[in-house]
Amino acid sequence: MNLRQILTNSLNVLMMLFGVFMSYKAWGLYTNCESPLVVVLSESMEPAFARGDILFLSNPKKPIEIGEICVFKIPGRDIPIVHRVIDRHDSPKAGKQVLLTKGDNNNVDDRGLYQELHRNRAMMWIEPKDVVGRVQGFLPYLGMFTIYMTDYPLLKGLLLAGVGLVVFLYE
Amino acid sequence: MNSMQNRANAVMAFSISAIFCLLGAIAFSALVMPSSPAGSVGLDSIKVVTGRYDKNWVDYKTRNNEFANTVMQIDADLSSLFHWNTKQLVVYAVAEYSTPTHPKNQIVLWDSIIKRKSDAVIRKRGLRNKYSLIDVNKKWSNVHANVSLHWNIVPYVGFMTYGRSQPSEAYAFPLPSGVQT
Repeated sequence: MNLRQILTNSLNVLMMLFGVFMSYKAWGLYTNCESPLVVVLSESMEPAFARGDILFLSNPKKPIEIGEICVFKIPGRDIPIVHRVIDRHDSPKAGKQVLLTKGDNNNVDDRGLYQELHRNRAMMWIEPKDVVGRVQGFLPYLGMFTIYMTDYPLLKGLLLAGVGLVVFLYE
Repeated sequence: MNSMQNRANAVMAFSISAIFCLLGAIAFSALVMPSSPAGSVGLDSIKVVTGRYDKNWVDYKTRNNEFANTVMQIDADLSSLFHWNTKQLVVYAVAEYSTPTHPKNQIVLWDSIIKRKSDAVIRKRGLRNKYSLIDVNKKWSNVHANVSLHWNIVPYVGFMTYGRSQPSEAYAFPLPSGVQT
């Protein structure tokens, strides 16, 4: 195993990683969505989406329809929420809407969630600017990998060690 | 040449591409599967009452917000939407109307999750709205709304698809008659 071989291997690994990253970003441009893939972390949309399922998002220009499932962020909170739209009211101005959402598995709509922060105590609706993506497709189970990796950092270390082994040992 | 590592790599690569081709084929097949869903919603009555809190006890701050209470009837046969890639249907009855300030408004009155083909024939009578029916302006003067049945097909893998029935006739909202308890 000489230096040249190690450098070639590292280059190959880096090419693969950057290739995946570039296609992900290109896909994000195409779908008009900053993160076109999300992993479901909560059970509020059971039985449609379970923990660890992957959702494919996009952000088309057309108005958000009733019954559509949106990923949105409440102002002042970081964690995105995946819930279904149960009320919509469109203004005459294009792209201006107010929306009310609810998780299929929750008993009540999301106004309690919107108003949780004191600064949002009068918030009755979310708007398209809060919506980061609209669910277009669904792939079950595969997101469990990322959940395991954040839950057990040891697994992440093992994966990195595996990549390292490939760099140093593959001929 | 044909080391153990090479063979393992080839088997892995082939099975992963085979699985994803199969998943792709299943996902796209759902888009061309023939179906003939049918459904209708009608309103038996609308009553408008005033109040301060909605059905979820959200506080609207004043006492004169106009909430509408409806009695619905629903007839639908959605069993043809169940095929090998249907995990569940979400069925929802929607009131649609327009006001001078908001040209398009849609509010879900009632919804249900259907997991089995045998449950996909729906016949409901005297159904009351599960969610509060209140306009964004909190008034119902001069509004006519129609109702329709919408559905969302949630697949095992693939695309979220949607459908809806023809809208009903337009119903006029009456003046408030009573106070919500």
